[in-house]
Amino acid sequence: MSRLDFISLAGLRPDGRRAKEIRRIRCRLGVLREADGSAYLEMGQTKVIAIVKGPHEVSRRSDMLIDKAIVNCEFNLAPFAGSDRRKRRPTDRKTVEMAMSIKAVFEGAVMLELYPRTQIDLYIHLIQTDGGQLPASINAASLALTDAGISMRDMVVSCSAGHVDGQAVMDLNHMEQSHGGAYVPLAILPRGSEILLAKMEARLPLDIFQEVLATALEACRQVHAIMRGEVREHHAALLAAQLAL
Amino acid sequence: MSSIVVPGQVITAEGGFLRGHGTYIQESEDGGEPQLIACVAGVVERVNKLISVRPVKSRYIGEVGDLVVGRVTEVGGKRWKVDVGGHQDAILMLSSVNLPGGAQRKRTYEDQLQMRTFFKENDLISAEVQQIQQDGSIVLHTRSLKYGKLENGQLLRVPQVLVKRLKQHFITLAPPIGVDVVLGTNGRVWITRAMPAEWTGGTSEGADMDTNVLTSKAETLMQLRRLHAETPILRDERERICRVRNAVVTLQHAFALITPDAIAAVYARSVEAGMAAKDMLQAEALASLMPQLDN
Repeated sequence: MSRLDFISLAGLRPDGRRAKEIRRIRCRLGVLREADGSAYLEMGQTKVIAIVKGPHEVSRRSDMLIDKAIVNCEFNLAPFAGSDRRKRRPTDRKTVEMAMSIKAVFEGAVMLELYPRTQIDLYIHLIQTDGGQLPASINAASLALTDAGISMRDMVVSCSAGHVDGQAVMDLNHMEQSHGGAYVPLAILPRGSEILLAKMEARLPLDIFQEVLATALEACRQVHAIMRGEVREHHAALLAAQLAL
Repeated sequence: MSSIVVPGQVITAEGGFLRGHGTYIQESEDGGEPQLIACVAGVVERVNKLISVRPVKSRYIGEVGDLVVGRVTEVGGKRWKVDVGGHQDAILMLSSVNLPGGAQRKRTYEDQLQMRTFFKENDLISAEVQQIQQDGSIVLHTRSLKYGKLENGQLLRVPQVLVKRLKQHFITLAPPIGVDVVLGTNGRVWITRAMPAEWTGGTSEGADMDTNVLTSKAETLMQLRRLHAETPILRDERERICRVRNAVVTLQHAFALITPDAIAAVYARSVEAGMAAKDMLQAEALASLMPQLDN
C-alpha cells in the first residue's frame, strides 16, 4: 500500500480543502431556553453544544473567592462521538485535560473581577468529533458566554494548524490530526492577537513552528469573522423581536 | 442596527467619555487616546458622556424597589437566602419581614428559632429589593402585606430582560380571564387565580391608619390568603391559568416583552381561534398567536 498523500498534486487535501482553508463553520446561539447561555457549533464534522450557567452562588463555599468569580468546566465526549465507541469517564486523563484547558482559556478572557463571590459553570458536550475537539469546544463556549451576557475582554476564538507533507495547513480533521505530525490548537483574543492557549506535542524546527503558528493565527481570524457575524445577527433578531408587540 | 456591538469591539477612541456597564477602557499602545471597548453583546446606550452597553440577555441585576419572586434556598441565623436568579442568592433579614398578625416589635430570640414557620427551604416568596450592596448582592424585604409566601399557583421562568419595570407588577387580568399574575422583575412569573370578588368585598375600604385597624387588616388579609391557598382550584380556573401560562410562554418563545396587555392579547387570540390551552404551544399555533414581525 502506498503512503497516503495528505496533499494531492492539485494542492487539495483528502476532504477537498486547500492548505489554507478552514472547514465550514455553522453556529447558533441560544439553543436551550432554560440555560443562561447556550450555543451549538459545527466545525466540519465536529459538533459541540456548550451550556453556560451563572454567574450564580458558589456551590462549595470553600471554593469562593471574595474578589472574583470562579470558573468551573465540565467536558463530556459522547460515547458515540468518535470512531472508537467507548465511554470515557469524567476522570479520564484526556477528559480532564480538555476541561482544564478550556477553563484556563476562559479564566483569561472573562472579566471575573466583575462577579465577586460567584461561580460560572461551563458544560461542553461533544456529540460528534472529527478532529479539532479543543478549538470547537472553545468556540462553542465563547458563543454560549456571549449569549449569557457575561463580560469578556474579547470574543475568544480558536482554531488549529498543523504540518503535513511539508506544508502548514489550517484546521486539521481527524485523519490529518492522527497521522503523527504536528497539531497546534490555538486560542486567541482576536483584537490584540493575544494568545490564550497554544499546545503542541510534536517536535518541530523553530522556523517551521513559526509558520504553523502564523497559519493558526490566520485561521483564528477567519473563524472570528464568522462567529462575530453570527453573534451580531442573533442579537439583532432578538432586539427586533422585543420591539414587535 | 449599527448600535449593536459584540465583545471586543471598539465603541469609540475619542476622549472625554465615561465608562459605563458592559465596557472597559484599553490604553492604546502607540500613546494615542484610550479606547472604549464593549465586553458584552448588546446595544450601545449614551447618556451625555456616559457610554454603556446593555446586554440583550443576562442574569438579574437588582434595582432598589423592584418586585422579585424567588425561592428560599437556606435558612440561617437571622436571615434567609433566596434564589432570585441574580449573581448571588439574595438576603432576606428576619427584621425585614412582617410578623404574623401584623405586629410591629423587636425580633426576639424566639422569632429566630421559629424562622421556619415563616419561610422554609423551597418556599416561593414575593419580595421587594430593599438595598443593593457594594458587591452587587441583593437585600430583600417583605414589609408590606402585598409580599410574602406564594401558594396555590404556578411559577414560570422567563428571561429577565423580557419583564420591564412597570407601574404595577401585581396584575389581575380582567374577567373573563380572572387570573392573577405576579410579574417578577427578575423574570419569575407567578400565576394564580384571582381572589373572588365576594371574598374581598368587605375589606376594600378602610383608609384610616389606626394601628388596630391595620392589625385587623393584616389579619383579614392573612385569613384571605389562607382561604385562597386552601380552596381547591376548579377545572375551568385551571384551564384559564394554563392558558395564561401558555400565553406567557408564547411571548417568551418569540422573545417579545411580557406585559399585561401582551398576555391578554395572546390569550384573546387563542380563545378566538378556538384553541384549547394545551394546543397553544404547538409549532403552528405559536406562529399564529404572535403577530408577524415586519422588518
